[in-house]
Amino acid sequence: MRGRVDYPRLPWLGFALFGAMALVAGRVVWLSARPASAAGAAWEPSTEVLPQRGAMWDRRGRLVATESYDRYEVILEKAKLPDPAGFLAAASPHLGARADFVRQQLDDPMVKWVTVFSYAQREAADAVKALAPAEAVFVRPLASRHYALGEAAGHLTGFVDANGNGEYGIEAAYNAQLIGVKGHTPGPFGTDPRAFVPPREGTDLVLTIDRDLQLAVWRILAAHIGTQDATGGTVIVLEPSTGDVLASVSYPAYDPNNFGAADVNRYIDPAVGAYYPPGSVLKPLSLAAAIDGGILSPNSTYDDTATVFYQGVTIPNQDYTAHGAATMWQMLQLSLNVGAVHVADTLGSARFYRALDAFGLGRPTGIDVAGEAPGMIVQPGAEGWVGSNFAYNAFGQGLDVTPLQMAAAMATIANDGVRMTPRVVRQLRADGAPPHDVAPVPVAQVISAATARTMRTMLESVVAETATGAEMAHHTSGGKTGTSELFDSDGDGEDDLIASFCGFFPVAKPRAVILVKLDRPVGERGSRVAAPIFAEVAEVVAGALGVVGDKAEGDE
Amino acid sequence: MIAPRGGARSGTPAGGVPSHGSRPHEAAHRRAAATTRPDASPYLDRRPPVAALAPTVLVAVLGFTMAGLLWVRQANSVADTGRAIAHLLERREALLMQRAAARVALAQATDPGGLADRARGLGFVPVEEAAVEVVVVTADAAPAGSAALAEPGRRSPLELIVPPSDVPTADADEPSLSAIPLSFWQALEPSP
Repeated sequence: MRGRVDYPRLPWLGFALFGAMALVAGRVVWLSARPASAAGAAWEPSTEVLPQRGAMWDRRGRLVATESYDRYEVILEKAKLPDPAGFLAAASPHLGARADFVRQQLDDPMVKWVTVFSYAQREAADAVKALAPAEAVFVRPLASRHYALGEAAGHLTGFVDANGNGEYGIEAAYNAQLIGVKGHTPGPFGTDPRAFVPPREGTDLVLTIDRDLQLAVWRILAAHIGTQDATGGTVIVLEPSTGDVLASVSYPAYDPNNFGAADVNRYIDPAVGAYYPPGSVLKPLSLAAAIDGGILSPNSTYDDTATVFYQGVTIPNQDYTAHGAATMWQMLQLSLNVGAVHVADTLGSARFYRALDAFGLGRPTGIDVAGEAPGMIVQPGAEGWVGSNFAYNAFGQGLDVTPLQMAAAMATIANDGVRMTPRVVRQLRADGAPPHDVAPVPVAQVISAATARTMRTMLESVVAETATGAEMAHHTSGGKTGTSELFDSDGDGEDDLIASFCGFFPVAKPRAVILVKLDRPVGERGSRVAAPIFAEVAEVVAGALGVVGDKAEGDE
Repeated sequence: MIAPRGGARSGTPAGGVPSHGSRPHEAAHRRAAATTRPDASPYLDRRPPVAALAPTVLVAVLGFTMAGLLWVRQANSVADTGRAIAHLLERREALLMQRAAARVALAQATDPGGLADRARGLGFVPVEEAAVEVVVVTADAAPAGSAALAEPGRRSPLELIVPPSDVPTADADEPSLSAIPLSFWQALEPSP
């Protein structure tokens, strides 16, 4: 019989086993029951899962901007590169300004991996890849942005910088929606599914523009910039009932697909971010306010004496001619500055500036693109104000507005007196959510519908009598020309001119408001230069929108 | 009955089995004494002390093993799911790239300028507005005698979509369809 053996520490072993078992069981329960977000937070480091930036579509569902993955990161493993000097010599033509950096990295013994390109185009990436052994070079596609309209809509869309952030235009204004939400995984080797947070893809935007219309208007503007030898220009097409921007082009432009090659001064959209004195295009606004307030009627007359002396300055008509007892019809048709001063003086400075404010001049319109400028209208009593300002302001000189402000003001008349907030996005399509329609935003009833109709009739007479270049073949149209002066803005010793026309069609129920502005054209006067462009653009817009002609056959 | 010293030292009740510290002759003496107890279990009293803890150790080992298995199973499941996620992420990235490439290709294929170029390549020429003859078609009311065709279940789709009473009639004030301009596509032609 064997002798009995005692194990005095055996109970402690039992306790230890129980403790370990409890720990394991607890850990299993903890892993199973813990929420994913807490699990994810515990993992470090994590790997980001980048969402795809939202795309942009035009109002008919055609692509305007999307991710394209046509930029590449090229990395070189030095240990597997047999002849660094030979590689550098062969690759230098493709490296450009980056050649010095790559040479420095190749010479540095502490560097094992050399980023040859961090954001290269395919041709350059392929060329460099072909110069090194396959096992030494790694090429990774990177998300980049493709803009289907290129420079035809560069100002409107803006672009995405190398960090993935939207800059200028719609890209900047809707960056938060477009960029999406990053997801993350536990790390390159982590496998805990609870630590995985999926990304939320960027929201797609449905724009108000028509892609083909935008392109057509761009080509029209570019052609006239060439023939008029103008230094720049802008065309805006608005739908007055909604404030939708159907097209907005400016020249000179830049291609957002290759924004780095453009002058940074071109990034700002002149349609919303540049000022200009509107000139006589402003006259309908003060007259509308006077008629709406019952102060004047279309048939009110005044004694037109060719010039008017006001607060120490003499304001002449543009034709330097006295027209005698002139009506408001004539004041608009002949664009008489003396009459414009009369209207503003009759209205009074307080009501005059209040009217400009009500029409949205001198303040941002609220359009949903980045970089909108407020304009500049010096009010009475403000610093820099002199009495003669009022007289100049009466015919659109001495104050600065943006082209969009002017177009939106004319759209107020076209929309029966209701001012709408211009917009470029009509629908948001978020990942996994139903589409969200962006409702048009009315700002105010600035003038009555009756006054607006009266003004449209008067502006139709302007086209019929003087601005005949704005006449359309099958549609009635109305509008006002403008020729404004810039005080020697380019330093050539001569004042520069801006020719513009802002109008609408058809007159009875306008479907589109079109502003045309040319900077320093050879043709000079707005009626001769900008009005025909209006007609050309309007015909295209009518075709795009399917607007049936409203002119009687005999009127053509 | 003699109370064993070892039992008192180890804290076991009198007559119980001491777990340690006993000398062989004392243990034999206590064993002999225990067998004389009417309520004593001969089996238990013959077990070595380690056997008394065996169930506890067994339960602990089994529990530990089961918990370990659960751990392994959990880790295995996590690894599988994690690998699946990684695979799906790669697949997602590839699909995103394919989708983006398809979008770009579609945009280029539907570009008006590109379409115009392709059309010219196929021999088409831009249409002149004067060369277009517009035929205005007005929908007249159904002629007499045609009612027999409108039998139940045999109505034409067009009749359902545009009932005869809703067909607009020609009006002198209404603009003609020929007033729709054709210059939209002409404007897309490259400027000279």
